[in-house]
Amino acid sequence: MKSPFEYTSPEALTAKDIIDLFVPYSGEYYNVPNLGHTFLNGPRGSGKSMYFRYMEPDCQSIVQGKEIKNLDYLALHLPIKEGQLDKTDLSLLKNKHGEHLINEHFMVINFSIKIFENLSRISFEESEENLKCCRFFIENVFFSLLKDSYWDEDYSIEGISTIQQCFIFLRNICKDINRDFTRTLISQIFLAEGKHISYSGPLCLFNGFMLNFLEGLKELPFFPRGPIYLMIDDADNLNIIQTKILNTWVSLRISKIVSLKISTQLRYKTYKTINNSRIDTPHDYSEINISDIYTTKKSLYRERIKEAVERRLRKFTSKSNISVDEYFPSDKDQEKKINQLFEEYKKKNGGEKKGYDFAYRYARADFIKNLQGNRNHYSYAGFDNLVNISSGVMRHFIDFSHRMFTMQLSKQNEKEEIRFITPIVQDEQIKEYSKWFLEENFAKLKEDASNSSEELNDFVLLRNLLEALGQTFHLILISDSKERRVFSFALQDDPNEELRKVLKLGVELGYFQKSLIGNKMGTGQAQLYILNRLLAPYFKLDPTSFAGYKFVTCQILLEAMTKPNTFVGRLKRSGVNSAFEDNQLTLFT
Amino acid sequence: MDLGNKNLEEWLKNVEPNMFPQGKIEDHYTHYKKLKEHLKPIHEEVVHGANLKDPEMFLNDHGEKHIETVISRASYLVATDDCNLTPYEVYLLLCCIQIHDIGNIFGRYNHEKNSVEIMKEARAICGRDTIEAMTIRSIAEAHGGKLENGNKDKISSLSKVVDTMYGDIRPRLLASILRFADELADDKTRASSTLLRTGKIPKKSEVFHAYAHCLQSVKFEHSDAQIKVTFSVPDIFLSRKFGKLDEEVFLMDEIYERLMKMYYEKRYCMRFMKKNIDIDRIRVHIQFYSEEEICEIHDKLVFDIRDRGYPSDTSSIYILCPELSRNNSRLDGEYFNSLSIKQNN
Repeated sequence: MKSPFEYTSPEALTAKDIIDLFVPYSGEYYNVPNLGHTFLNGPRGSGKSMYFRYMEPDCQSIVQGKEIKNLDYLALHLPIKEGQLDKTDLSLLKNKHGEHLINEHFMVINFSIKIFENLSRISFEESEENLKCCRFFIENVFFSLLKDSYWDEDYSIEGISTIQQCFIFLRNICKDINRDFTRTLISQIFLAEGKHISYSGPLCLFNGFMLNFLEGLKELPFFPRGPIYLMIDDADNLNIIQTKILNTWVSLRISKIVSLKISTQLRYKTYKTINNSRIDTPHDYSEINISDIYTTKKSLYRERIKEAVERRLRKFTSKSNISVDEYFPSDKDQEKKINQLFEEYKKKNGGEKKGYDFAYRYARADFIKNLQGNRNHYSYAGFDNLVNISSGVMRHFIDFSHRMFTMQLSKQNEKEEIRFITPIVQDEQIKEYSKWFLEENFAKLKEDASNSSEELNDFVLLRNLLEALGQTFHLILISDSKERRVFSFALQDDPNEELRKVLKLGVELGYFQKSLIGNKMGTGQAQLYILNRLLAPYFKLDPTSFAGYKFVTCQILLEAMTKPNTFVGRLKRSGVNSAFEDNQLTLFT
Repeated sequence: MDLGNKNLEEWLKNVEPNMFPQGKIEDHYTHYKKLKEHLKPIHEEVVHGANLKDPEMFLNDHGEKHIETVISRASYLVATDDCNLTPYEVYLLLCCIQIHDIGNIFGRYNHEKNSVEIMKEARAICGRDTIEAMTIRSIAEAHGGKLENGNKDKISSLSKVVDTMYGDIRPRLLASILRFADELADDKTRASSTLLRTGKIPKKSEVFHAYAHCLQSVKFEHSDAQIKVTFSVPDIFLSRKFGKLDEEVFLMDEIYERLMKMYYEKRYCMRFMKKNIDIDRIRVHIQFYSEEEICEIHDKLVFDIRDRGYPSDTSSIYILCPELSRNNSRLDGEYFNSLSIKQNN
């Protein structure tokens, strides 16, 4: 039986699958297909690649109900895998002869290969006239650009009889150039032992090659009249020079020919160009931060997940009408007890209106507290809980739902369709997933042999900080503090370099989300870090609240980072709001 | 830089060893000379080729003499204390000067790009590798024309500083020197004066030759941060109109228009040269004389073209800052007022 939550990479999904499964974003995401360069930033799994897949012509042809040549735009996906362009060899060219030009050539040729590969898979209208125009483009435009780029090989278009073959032909030429580049230059770099080396191969650059052939392609009668969008996916995987080169392209006013849609996983190296000027939003590009949407418009995210799950259930099961709450039911017994406590608190504290706030703040927290030694029995089952725990990253929801499905299947007759995931299975799997997210994921990162000792140290410090914060938030939850559902902290002062690096690493790895709030003095803004709710089951926290945060000094965080056990031990003994040795220092204010 | 009364070519031939970065002595002059020799026959054909392609035009000289004039102008431009080009930069600049107008052989349109054909032939000699060839080409192309998006600001698309195996180079600086030197390189020697006087110049090109004929000299006075331009205009040129492409114009109007172009080129190029070369104004002398009586007629005109007084407020912020316009609408008070109303509703 196929799991409705089995993850398939967007590239492997057909257009029909994408249309069936993908939930289009609302709000500012509708600006992504607009003219102009755009950065789409979000953690891994937040749906960027899926969105790019949705923008591709085969999907848009269905969505817009138009033939390819009448589409509003033509979007071409250019994924950048780790290590694909960021070659160690090329880093040896740092500050050497031709560093920029050689890196740009390498980027352009690899992008060109992908562009023509994509084009060869599009169902353009095959006709004599279109083929004639395509051949004309190759012989009169493309060949000329190759010569201009110092690639002197001769090619013949004899035997090419379809448009698809034309694009495969062009792709193969670019592959020839890339092969030649790797063979000639890369081997020289090592032999040069750090010295400058001469380069006599071709140089295919953005201006003078890629932009020119894209402009030529747009003139073809079977091409959409609208702009071309190059969707550069995971641009964090470029090296620093390549990132600057890409930024230089962003700074060009070329949107009538091509717009760059660039996705990043919050690890984008710089916004400077090769001339060290900065590209800025909004006049060079527009920017969409997916995690902002989650932190500021929570209900929108819930609606997206709900629809995504329902679509999957419709597609892969016979359950066309089942609701998400039925498929992921909560622990009824637990919820009943919490509701009873809720009603009790409401009555005792001023009735429906006045008591509601008190009950909302403390009912669930006190329930967890009252479980005492049985806090592991607090159940995180239920659709709403799972949505909150997924922390704005759809991929997490899909992943742990898949595990739940697989576990549920193993507990019943395999031929019998699963009507819902029991609360026990949900709870068990989400706790396993939470543990995996912190422990196993971290262990894998540390084992990566390519990490330097400095990076390894940063991982250790981050782990300490997460452990200290998680345990602290749990202590707050079961304390008598006024605000108990604390999931975030705001910096009271500026972090030093060490803390700044660790917090940045935490954001890049998805353990924190970063935002801004008004500072305590009311004179500006402070950095707010929200712990990933995937850690709620691990640290026995309540994931339902969003609002609770505390101000904290950087000195305290540094202590938590370096001596987490000592730090937490002191809090356990003296209480979370107690003063330290120096009465002027308090943990949270 | 102190050229010691030599031009850049002569200076490059005998560079002091201490001028080379890190003392690495390179024989750039020999490479440059090879390129120059290779291009010599092509330079001789440049004007013929352009005129064959566009028979209704008759270009003034873009051949070897013009190249020498550009080198001379560039030499005077860089002869300041704050401009210290390295030997490699001088070599690149000279190569760019050699090829910048070569594309004319293919016709005037897009001529700064057509030099690619010639460059490729010359690549075995000049542009010792592709990096160097591409660098020379991009600097040479920046002397005129437009970018793909129609923008005339080609120099900004070049890098400020680039690492090379012969030391750092400054493409923007070199391109601005080439561009401004080329702008100043019109003078009497460029004009086909006899053909002009006998009415043998095609109508469309008359005024270009007339202008060049009248331009007596261009002098650099760095101590006063000025360039002095002197014209001598014969009376017979004042009393007629000259053909200029599809219209007819008076020579004085053409002189003023060309001086304004020179002024705009100065302003543009100064953006990239100002740390090294300071030209604040263009001082113009225009003398009028009778050819028959060989004496001056009319009072001489002497004036400065420079920024004056308080900056004009006729240039709008929307022109200076294109990012304040979006989808043909200005982001002005009315725009934000409408936005605010929309958000409140």
